[in-house]
Amino acid sequence: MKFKISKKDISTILGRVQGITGRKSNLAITANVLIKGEGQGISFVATDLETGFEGHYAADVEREGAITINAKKLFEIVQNFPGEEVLIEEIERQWIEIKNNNIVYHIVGMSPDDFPDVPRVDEVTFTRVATGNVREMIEKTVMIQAPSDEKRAHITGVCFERIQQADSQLMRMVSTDGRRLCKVDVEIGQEDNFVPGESVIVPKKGLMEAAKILDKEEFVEVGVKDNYLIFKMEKETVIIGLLEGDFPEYEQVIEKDDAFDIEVDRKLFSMMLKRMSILSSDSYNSVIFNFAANRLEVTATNPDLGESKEDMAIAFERDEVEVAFNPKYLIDTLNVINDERILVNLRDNHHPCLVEGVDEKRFLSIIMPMKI
Amino acid sequence: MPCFGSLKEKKRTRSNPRAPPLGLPDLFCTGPRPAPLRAKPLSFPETSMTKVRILPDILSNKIAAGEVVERPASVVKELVENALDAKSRSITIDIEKGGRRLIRVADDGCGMVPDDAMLAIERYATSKIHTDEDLFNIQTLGFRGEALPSIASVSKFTLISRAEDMDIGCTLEMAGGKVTQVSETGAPRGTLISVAHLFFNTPARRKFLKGEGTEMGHIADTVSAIALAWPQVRFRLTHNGKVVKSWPATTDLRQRVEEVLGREVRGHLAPVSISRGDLTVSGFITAPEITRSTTQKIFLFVNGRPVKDRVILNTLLSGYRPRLMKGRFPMAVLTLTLPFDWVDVNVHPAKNEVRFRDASSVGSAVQEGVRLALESAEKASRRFGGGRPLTAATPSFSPMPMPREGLAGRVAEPTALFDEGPEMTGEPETSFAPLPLQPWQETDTPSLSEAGETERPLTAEDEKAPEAAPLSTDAFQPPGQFAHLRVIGQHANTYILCDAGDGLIVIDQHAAHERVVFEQLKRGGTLHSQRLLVPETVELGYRETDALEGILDKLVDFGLEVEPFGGTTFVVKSVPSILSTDSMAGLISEIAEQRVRMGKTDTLEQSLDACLILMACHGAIRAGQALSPKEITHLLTQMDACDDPSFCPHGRPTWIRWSTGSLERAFKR
Repeated sequence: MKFKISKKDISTILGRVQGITGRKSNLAITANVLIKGEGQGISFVATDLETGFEGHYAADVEREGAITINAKKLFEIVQNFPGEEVLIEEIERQWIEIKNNNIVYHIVGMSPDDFPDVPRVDEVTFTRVATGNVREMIEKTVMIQAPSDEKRAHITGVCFERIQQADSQLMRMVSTDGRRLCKVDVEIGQEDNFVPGESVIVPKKGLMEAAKILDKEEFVEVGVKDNYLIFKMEKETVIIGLLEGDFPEYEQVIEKDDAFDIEVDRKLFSMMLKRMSILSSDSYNSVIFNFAANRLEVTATNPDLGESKEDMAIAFERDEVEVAFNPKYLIDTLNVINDERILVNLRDNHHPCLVEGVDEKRFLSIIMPMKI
Repeated sequence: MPCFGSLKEKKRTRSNPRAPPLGLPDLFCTGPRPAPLRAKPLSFPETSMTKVRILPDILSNKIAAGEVVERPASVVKELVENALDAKSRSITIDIEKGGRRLIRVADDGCGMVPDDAMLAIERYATSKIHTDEDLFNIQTLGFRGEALPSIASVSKFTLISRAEDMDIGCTLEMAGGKVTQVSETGAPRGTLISVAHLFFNTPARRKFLKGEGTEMGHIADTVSAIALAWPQVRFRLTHNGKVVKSWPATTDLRQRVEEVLGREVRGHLAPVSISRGDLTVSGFITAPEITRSTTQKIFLFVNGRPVKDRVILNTLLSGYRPRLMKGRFPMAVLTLTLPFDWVDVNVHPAKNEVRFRDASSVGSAVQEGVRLALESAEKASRRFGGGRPLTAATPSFSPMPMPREGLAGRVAEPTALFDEGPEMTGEPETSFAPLPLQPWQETDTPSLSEAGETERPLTAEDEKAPEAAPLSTDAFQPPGQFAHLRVIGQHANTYILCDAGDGLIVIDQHAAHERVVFEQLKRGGTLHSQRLLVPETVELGYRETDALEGILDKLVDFGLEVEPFGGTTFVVKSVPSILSTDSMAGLISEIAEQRVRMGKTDTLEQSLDACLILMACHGAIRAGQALSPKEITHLLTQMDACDDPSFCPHGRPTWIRWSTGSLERAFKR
């Protein structure tokens, strides 16, 4: 195989697959990227056996064929390549030359026959969604990360739903780590070929890889079939193997009683939390919120360091409520809310606390208080 | 002099004020067996009808000898205890041929008058107790009245004794339990007993005797144990005419303990002293880094009597928790002093077992005493345990197999080269042996000893260490020390390498973080607990269910809120926020299993400690987890905040150190 491609293009493509090829799998070859040259284009394939990437690009193909080459090394080589174009050629069996003018590399590849097949899913019914919306949905949900050795599907994965409502239809992602939960909705237009379906659990890691390609094109086709979630764009496709498991019934916790809403300014609240979290540590990471008549007093105590206290005026007319939170969870949430005014729905120290924007209702975050 | 088990008129006043000070009738104790039975052993007509007979004394003494006199060391024990009961100040023990040929114990105690001496060799003749009540209020070491006749029945036995107020002493000679000669003789005050040709008339038992060295070892151990309880008495032990042990009388137990346990413990002894009402626990225990692989060097005394008691032993060890590694045991000398009627010593003929009326309060006093002793010693002196972990309990550094001739270009089988002799002879401590691990301060006692156990040959360094230790002024100061190390990097995503200027510090990230989390959990109280939005259910076995239910309310104190969910299912509602967001199911079932395993023998506190250790283990950074430089620095800072950063809660060391010197030696520089 022999082809010529612009340095910028190949850098971008290789940059997108680094996350996938960088993950350890049972097969050594998954650290490689498969490059196939056919007709007037080349395609790049990468997989970690859970998430697959496939991209088709225009290139000057002189001789058809396929190679696999270590994705990290190739990326490093082309990133630092002088000149605008890169010439890649398999000069012998699995002996790959990368050159341009006065520079040449010879890299050992592996047999393309050994490269695992990326699943081919046919007859998928895709729904068209604005790329930005999908990316936002992913970014706001994978914010709740899973510990590296976590096994439970509902924590390593995000619940993806397609819901048909009376007057609207929407896609929804819900993510949790058992202590907090967040939910992002994306409304789908009538003309976008919406298909309702069962909820599925999608690994967070795969979604993070998918988010990387959701940047260029305006729309992305999203479909679920045969245990795969597929994001398809004009040139690139990401296919993610779904997780098996049950996602907790979250519907009852997201139902809220508006009587407990407290409206606050997002920025002020967030800055106050940051100041309070200065004193928090691994073992002392709670901040106590005392809501009294039109006043919120916040205190943080760390026996190793000291304590801090701050108050702010808020509209609050109920009986006094005292509740503690891990400030990190609140800060994470406030960072991804777009509205400047937010609603904190807070009943007491036992019930989950719901946070959302005053106007923008697509994002909802639920945080469990700490025991005082 | 060994005041024979039998006659000790003078002491009797203490044990039984009601008894007449003298008076032979009382000498027959009314103890375990009624005396009348013995009165008519031979009166049964020997008809064919009677198959059951009372054994003649001589035979029953031999049988008793089987229980009391198991080996030469038990003879020594009985005789020395008699000597102590006679209030001797100096006891000399001479042994020949491991006790087979001769055991001779001479004391300067109260001695016996001739009539008493004759009685002493009768079975159940004792001066030490007189009535039923006495049996449960035993203040002397001996009391059964069995020892002398038993010993005399299986040996050639000579007793020479002179009571203090007599002008002349008496000699009594026996062979196989029969008196062969009684005569008057001149003798120093006290008693001398010679036991020659032990087991000469019981060949079967003689065959079971081990080699001379082994038997002598047992004797030395026996004498050591007794000597630890009686520092105010001078002991001298000789074997084949050579002095084996000689301990001068002292008023300072510490001195005796150091002499008996060896110089290794010097500077590493923590005094134990605790009183609970009438119960006093006192003695010395070693720092957790001075350990043995057996419990042999743990000496327990109850009212001066050496005992082996699993309950006390276990509580002693639990007082060390979590400082000891599994399978390692400290050395200790602990004396329990308690009212005589609180303890039953008449459990076993050899008297090395006892029963407590209230074993659990005795146990908790021991545990508390040990814990307090270790804590205050660690606080008082940084050198004691605080600074250094156990070093080479496992040979932690196996140098890469580098052929010695590698430089010459020959690449031979590396392993074969190691064993090859000639070049190695220059340096007996081969360069391929594990590098000697240095304690944090060079001057401290090197504890590379562990692997070698007691048999380890002393190296030059060992020799000089004890003297050097007290001079050490630049003692390691834990606070701030770890954070100031220059981090070199992470090895195998498990060990953090740091430069300490004059050496290389290797930190086990999991062990270190486990300690950090454990201490944070242990501090408890203000521990923050995160409620779960999605409560986690845990399924357990029946026994585990039962075990877990008993401690649910205690777990809440640690921020772990678990509730029964019907049947054998539990639901986790809140978790300590210090633990990562990991699944709690594994932790909960481990806690339950552990509780089942430990059963009811351990106290609740211990099993809760075990829970904390498990929680710490779950919450800690794993081995094999890559850490960012920031995380490493954070961990080091946290280690500095720990009370005892050098051991993980299981007792493994969290860090080791190779001094530049030892590296240089390894590289032959």
